[in-house]
Amino acid sequence: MEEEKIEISKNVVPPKVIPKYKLGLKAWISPFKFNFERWMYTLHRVTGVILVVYVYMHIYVTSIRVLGDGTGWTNLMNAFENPINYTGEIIVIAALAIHGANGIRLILAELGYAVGKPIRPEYPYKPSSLKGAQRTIAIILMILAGIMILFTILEYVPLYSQFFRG
Amino acid sequence: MKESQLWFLQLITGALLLVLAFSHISTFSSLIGTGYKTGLEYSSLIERAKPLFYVIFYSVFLTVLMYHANYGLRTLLIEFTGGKYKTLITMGVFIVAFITYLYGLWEIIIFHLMAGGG
Amino acid sequence: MSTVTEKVEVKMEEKAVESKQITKEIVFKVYRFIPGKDTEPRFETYKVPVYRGMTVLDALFYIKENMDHSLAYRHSCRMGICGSCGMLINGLPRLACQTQVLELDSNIIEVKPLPNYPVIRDLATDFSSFFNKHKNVKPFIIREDKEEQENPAGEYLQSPEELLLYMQFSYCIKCGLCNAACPIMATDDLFIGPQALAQAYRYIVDNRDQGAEQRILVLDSAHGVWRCHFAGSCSAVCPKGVDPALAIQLLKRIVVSQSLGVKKPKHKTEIKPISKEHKPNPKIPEAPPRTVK
Repeated sequence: MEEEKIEISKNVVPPKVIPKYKLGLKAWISPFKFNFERWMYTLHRVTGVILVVYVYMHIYVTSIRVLGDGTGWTNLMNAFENPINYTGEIIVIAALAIHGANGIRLILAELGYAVGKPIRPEYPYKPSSLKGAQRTIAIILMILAGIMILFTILEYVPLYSQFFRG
Repeated sequence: MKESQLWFLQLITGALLLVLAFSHISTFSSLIGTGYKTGLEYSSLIERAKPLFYVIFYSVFLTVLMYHANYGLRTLLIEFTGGKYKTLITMGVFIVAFITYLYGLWEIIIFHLMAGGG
Repeated sequence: MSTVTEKVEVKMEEKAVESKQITKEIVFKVYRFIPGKDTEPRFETYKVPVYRGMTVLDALFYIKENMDHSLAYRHSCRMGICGSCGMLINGLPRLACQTQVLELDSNIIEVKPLPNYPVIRDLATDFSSFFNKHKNVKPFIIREDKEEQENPAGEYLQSPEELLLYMQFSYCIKCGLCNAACPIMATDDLFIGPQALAQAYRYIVDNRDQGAEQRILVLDSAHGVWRCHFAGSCSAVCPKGVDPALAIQLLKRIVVSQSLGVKKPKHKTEIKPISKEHKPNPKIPEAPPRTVK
C-alpha cells in the first residue's frame, strides 16, 4: 500500500484569524455537567497541586531545625499556633486523604482492573467502564477519606478552642 | 527510560507513600502519636532523631516522595504547555528536584548527628 | 377503493400536523464566526418554533431556511451514524441530530462548535489533525507477510468470542465528541486523543492483526497513552457506546506489561498465515474481480 497523503483540508482555506478554540485550564478545573470520574480527575489534580506546593515549602521550612539551636524551631512553632495555620494544615491533610484514596482507585483502574469488559453496545449505550466496579470502589474510598478528614478536624477542635479562649 | 516505566514507578511510589506519609503524620496525631503540642516540641524532635531508623525511614520517604511529586509536576507542566517543551521541562524539574532532594538528605543526616546518633 | 386510500392519507396528514404541533418558541444562541468578515466570534439569537420530536439539527435547518442563510454547519445522515454534526450544545458535546430540543429542558439553547478543534466557520471545525492522529496509529490489519496482507488467498477464521474482544470499539463513527470532551485534549495539542487510542486497541486486540509492536512505538510516548488519566468524559459523551476509556485502560495494561517484560497471558490466539496450499472452500462462491488498482 503506497503512502497516501491525506489532504482533507485541500479545498478549505483555513481562516487567517482562528478564534480561540482550546478550552484550556477551564477543562481541568470545571467538571460541571460531566461524569463522576471527571470530578475525581479534577479533585486529583487540585489536591496534587496543593500537595506539591506544600511538600516543597515543607522541606525548606523545616530546615530551620538544623540551622542553629532549638530556639528557631520553637519560635516557628509558636508562630504557627493560630487558626489560619490550623485551617491550612487541615486542608493539606484533607488533600492528602483525597489524593491517596483516588490514587488507590487509579492504580486499579489504569492497570485495567475493575473497569468491566468489552460488551456488545446496546441502546442507551451506558458505557461499562463508567459503571463497573471502579465507581463503587471510588465511592467507598472517598467515604474512607471523608472519615479520615473528620477525625483530623476533630483533633484540631481543641486547638481552635484553646486559641480562642486562652 | 521509557515513559511506561516512569509511569509504572509513579504507581509503585504512590502505593509506598500511602504507608510512609501516614506514619509520618501520625507522629503528631493524638490517636496514635504523641499529640500535636508535645509531638512538635523541639525536645521530642531530637529524641525521635536519635536512632538510625530515623535516617533510614526519612531517606526512603524523601526519595519516594520526590519521585512521585516531581513526576506529577512534570506531567502537569507538559500537559499545560501543550507538549512543546517536553525536554526542557523534564530537565528543569529534574534539576530543581535534585537540589531539593540533596538539601533534604543533608537536613536529615545533620539533624541525626545533632541529636547524638552514631 | 380510492376513497379508502384517500381516507388513510387524510388521516396520516392529520396525524403529521398534530405531531408537528408547535408547543413553544425557544431562543437559540448560535456561535457565529465568518472569516474575512468577523475578527472575533459572536453570538446571534434566533427564536425558533419548536414541536415535539424536533432535534437541534431541525432547528438549525429552520434557522438557515427562514432566518439567516449564512449559517454554516455540517450534517449528513440526520440519524446519528455519519458523525458530521457534532456540536457543543448547552455545555456538552453532542450530535445535533440526536439531541431533542425539548429534552434539553431549557428556554435558551446555546449552540457552539466542538471545542479543541480549530474553527473554520460558524459551527464547522477542522478535523485534519483528528484524522492525522487516527492515521498515525495505523488503523488497518497488519500482517507480517506483505504479500498476504495485499492479496490474501483465503479467509481468516475468527470465533464470536474473539470478535467480542474488539467489536465494541469498531462502532466508532469518528464524530470527534470524545476528543472535544477530553480535558487533556483541551490543553495538549500533541496528545493522540481517546478516539485514536481506542482504535489502536481495536486493532492490537484483533487476532487477525500482527502489528502490535509498530503501534506500541507510537503509543508508548510522552503524548501517547500515558497522558490519559481516566477522566472518563470520552465514554460519557460517546453517542455509539464505544467506551474509549475502557479501551485505553485495557491498552495501558498491554503497553506496560510489554515494556516491563512481564509475560502476560495471551489476550488473543494468533491466526496463522494462510498457507500456499490453501484450498478455498468450494461452497463459498468466488469473489468478483477487483475494481481497485
